[in-house]
Amino acid sequence: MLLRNLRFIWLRMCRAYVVFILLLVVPLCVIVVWGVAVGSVITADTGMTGMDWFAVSMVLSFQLFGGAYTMSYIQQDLLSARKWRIYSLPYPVYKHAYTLLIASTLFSVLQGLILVVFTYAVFGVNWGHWGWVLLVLFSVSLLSQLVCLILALSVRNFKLAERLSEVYGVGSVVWAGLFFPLPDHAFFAFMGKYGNPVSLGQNVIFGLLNGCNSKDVYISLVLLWAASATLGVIAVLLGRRKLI
Amino acid sequence: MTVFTFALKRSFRNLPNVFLLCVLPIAVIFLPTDDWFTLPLGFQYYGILLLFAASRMVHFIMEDRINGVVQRIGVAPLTHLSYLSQHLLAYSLLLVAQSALVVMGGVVYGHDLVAPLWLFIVYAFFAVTAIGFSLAWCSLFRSKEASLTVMMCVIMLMAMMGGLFWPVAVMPDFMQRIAMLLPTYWLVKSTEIITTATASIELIVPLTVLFLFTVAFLLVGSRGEIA
Repeated sequence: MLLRNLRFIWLRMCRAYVVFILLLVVPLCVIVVWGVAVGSVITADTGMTGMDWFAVSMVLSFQLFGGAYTMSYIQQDLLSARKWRIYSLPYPVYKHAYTLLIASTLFSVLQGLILVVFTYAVFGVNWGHWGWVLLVLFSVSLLSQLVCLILALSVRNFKLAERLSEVYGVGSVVWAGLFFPLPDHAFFAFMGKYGNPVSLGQNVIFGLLNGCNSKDVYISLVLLWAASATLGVIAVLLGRRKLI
Repeated sequence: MTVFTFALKRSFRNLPNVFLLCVLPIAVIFLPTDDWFTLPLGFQYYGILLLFAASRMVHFIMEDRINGVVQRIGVAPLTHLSYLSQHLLAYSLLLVAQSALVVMGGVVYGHDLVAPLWLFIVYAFFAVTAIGFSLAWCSLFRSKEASLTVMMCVIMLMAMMGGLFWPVAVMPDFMQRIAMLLPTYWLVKSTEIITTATASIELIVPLTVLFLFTVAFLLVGSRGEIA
């Protein structure tokens, strides 16, 4: 039943053209323009090429907005008038909610993977070991889906929940220092390195690429999973209160 | 001027708009300087903010078109030209006032803006161009959501290619030529002239180009509304 439901949710996702544009076409365009315009000019401080740094950062950043899938489908199926139809089915609501979460996470990872393959094939971006890349994409995607799920379940006004999810996405990108350098202060340095999902993902991929500082790699992965576990528990508690 | 007053009030009715119009302009003042640009980063990025703010506000006109408000106005003693011009005037006023606030804030904060008055004039010109661009863009779409989403992508690309994120000079030759077709290029050109050249007469070319962009965009954008 879960696999059958997954299939139909993915079919629905394939038809959401606007989200498709936002999460696949926009990063593709941005990466292509960046690569053609200044890809060979800018070099990152970490010793890698500017293109490698930018591609990794962009792919991870757009994973943060993938949570829009979970948020929107939970709202459509379980928090609006359609919920009465879903409740009347011989299919537990919690199973549907879990399926939505799994489908959204995997779909977002797939979109990220398309970007990874594209940047690897077209710009020769060095992503390192593909298994690690998949793990990082999955971790960041899961975290973002859980954040958006919690927002959908806890904020009454759905428009406000959507705006808050954007604040989470854009805020994380700003904390990662992708728009402008953060002030030279211990707090900002810590938050810029461990305080947001983009930096945590970057730490893992860049750490493995540089072949040094493996402690940072494991700390970042553990932090990502710890955050996901905590948010998972909160999401279950909120879901029990709101959906059943 | 009923429509004008209503457009002004309506611009502040939702939270994202208030954030774009009142909070983010203050935030850009405090952004640090960067080696690549003569202006502080916030003033470099302010062009992007103007484009986003203009697009959010002009989408109200699109909303009216979709919801049939424009049709109702068609039977009221109000011409489409009056309806459109009052809306655009209100949005222009807001963005020009915002530009003045940002430049004044920069001066008070202690940024070296070289010629703040000229900078304000350039931002004011660009604000009107951004409104014209948004109007022309909205006339191409029937769905507000699709229009906003694609426009976000286009604004980012315009900002990147126009030189708001990095100097145009570091891009390949063919991209530098393409960049000249974008309003953002002329905004950056104007700010470069302000911060490097002594004669402000050199500003005539970029400001004229921005003005011509505005006229072209308004002609394209208002066509559907007047017809």
